[in-house]
Amino acid sequence: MVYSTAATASLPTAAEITTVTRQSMALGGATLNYTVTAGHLTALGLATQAPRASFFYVAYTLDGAAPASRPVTFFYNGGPGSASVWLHLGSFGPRRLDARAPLHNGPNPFPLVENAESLLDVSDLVFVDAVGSGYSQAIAPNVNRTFWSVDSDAEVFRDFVMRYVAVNQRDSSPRFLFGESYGTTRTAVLARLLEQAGLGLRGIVLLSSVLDYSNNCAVMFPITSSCQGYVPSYAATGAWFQRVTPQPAEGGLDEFLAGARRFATERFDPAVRRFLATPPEAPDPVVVAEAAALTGLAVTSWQAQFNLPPDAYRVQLIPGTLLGRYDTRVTQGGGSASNDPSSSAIGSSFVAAIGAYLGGTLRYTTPSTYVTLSNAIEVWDFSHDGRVVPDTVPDLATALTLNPRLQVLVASGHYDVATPFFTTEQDLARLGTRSNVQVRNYAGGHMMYLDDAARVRQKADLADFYRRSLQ
Amino acid sequence: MRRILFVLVAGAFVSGAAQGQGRAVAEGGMRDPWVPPAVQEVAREMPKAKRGEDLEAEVERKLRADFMAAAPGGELTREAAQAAGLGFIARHFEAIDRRGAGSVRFEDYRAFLRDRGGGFLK
Repeated sequence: MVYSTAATASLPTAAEITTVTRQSMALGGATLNYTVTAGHLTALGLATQAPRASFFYVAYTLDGAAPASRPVTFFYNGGPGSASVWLHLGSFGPRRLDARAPLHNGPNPFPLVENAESLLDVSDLVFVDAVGSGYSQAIAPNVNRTFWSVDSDAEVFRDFVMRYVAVNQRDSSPRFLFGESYGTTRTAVLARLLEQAGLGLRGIVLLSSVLDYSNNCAVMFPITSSCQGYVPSYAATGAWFQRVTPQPAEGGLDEFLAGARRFATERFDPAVRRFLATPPEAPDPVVVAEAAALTGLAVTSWQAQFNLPPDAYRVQLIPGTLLGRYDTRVTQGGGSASNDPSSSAIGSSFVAAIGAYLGGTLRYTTPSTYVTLSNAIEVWDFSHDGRVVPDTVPDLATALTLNPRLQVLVASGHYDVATPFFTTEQDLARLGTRSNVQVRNYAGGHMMYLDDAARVRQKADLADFYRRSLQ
Repeated sequence: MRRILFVLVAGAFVSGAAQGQGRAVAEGGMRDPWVPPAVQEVAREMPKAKRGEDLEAEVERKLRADFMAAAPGGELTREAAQAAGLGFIARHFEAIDRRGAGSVRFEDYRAFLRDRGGGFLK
């Protein structure tokens, strides 16, 4: 079988063939023996039970654990169009690429090392690739593009999760979802669909969220909405490069960012709204001066582009230096904001490693090419609930209505100017104060787990989250 | 402009197919979150994000739409709910069917969710 990520690709039929290997690792002072299952499962239509898509997945299951008490977590990246390679080989699997963000000062390409922060001590882990990525493909009469919309993608993921649970007898296992970036958009819709289908979840982890596309000013061009949600990320970045006035004291970043949030909503946003109004009001010079001091970006930059988008910040903070988009701490000597040094620093290592890992370590042989990222995003149907770009906060609210005990952990990176942490906090604020929705921000980028210190903290927070969710 | 540069970058991310190893490729560059220019064009004037009572009304609208899609006649038996994929209703059927009618209407479902509390129905 040769799998294709082409928009019109369609398998005439599909088989659920897997390759199974036994492995072990040292974790938390114990030796964990586990089974790795790599292969395909067929997602069946919810009402029709007709084959819809053949999903490629890699599952890590702890040997000898009782299914009723052993959680299972489904991981996927975003894009849309991305395979799960970033979470699979970068975050909490049994092995990870030693990326050492943000300096990336280790060997390159990154070596695959045993992961001392793996979540395998807490949960079984299933990394699954979206249709038209990895080795996942639609089954006739569907084509890959059938599942390239906000709703059909979430629906077919629901069908995959239900198939996995049925085939592996995990009906009684506590279930979790763990999505990154567009994967959080998917999770909000998917959680609603799974709860509605009667397959309840115990918890969801939203990592580097984009819940409401219309609340992220940089998604639109020309920019017509306020970029205030980015201002605390600019402040964090300016402080990292020691360009803000006054510089936060040692250990004072949280307090500094609390002040940045207040400035963003109370001072900057009202001024920007007057600036964007018809007729426009000139930028308030006092607010401009405050923005410059808080973010380290020159007064002239704020004067020239008061509602300043992240690309401008990345180019202009340090003349002659381009900051990363997914992690502003990763830089290169100049260049257009179309480049992202934080992506180019990691891309080739992950692409090279996943091929070698699946074919070598997991002995999954195929004539197919594993596609880490397709071009699905170019033709994706982003419409949802009558809006042209998705706002999935109502989906999350519906999931919480069907399951008020659903635990939600929301993780963001201070130095991510793709999905800024303050924008995510504001999206979540629409849900009101809920004890089962928790926010954790880390000193890292979009993939904060690539930073060794952030990953250690995040593992501790995740272990705590699972513990509480399972009570 | 952005699109062209990403394609060039992607060209570098191809791994070899050495013996015993799979082959992998990135066909595009990472842009998430991003929407195509044609979508940006129409998405500029977005309706306001719903919160408070508007969000509660939206939750009810979504639940109602999914219920009615499965129940064209406005009522569902346990078997019909299960067959339509509304496993939640099938699983909680007796508690939702307070009238003991053997079939439930959206109002029964809504009342069950509201009275259980903790959600977004008032």
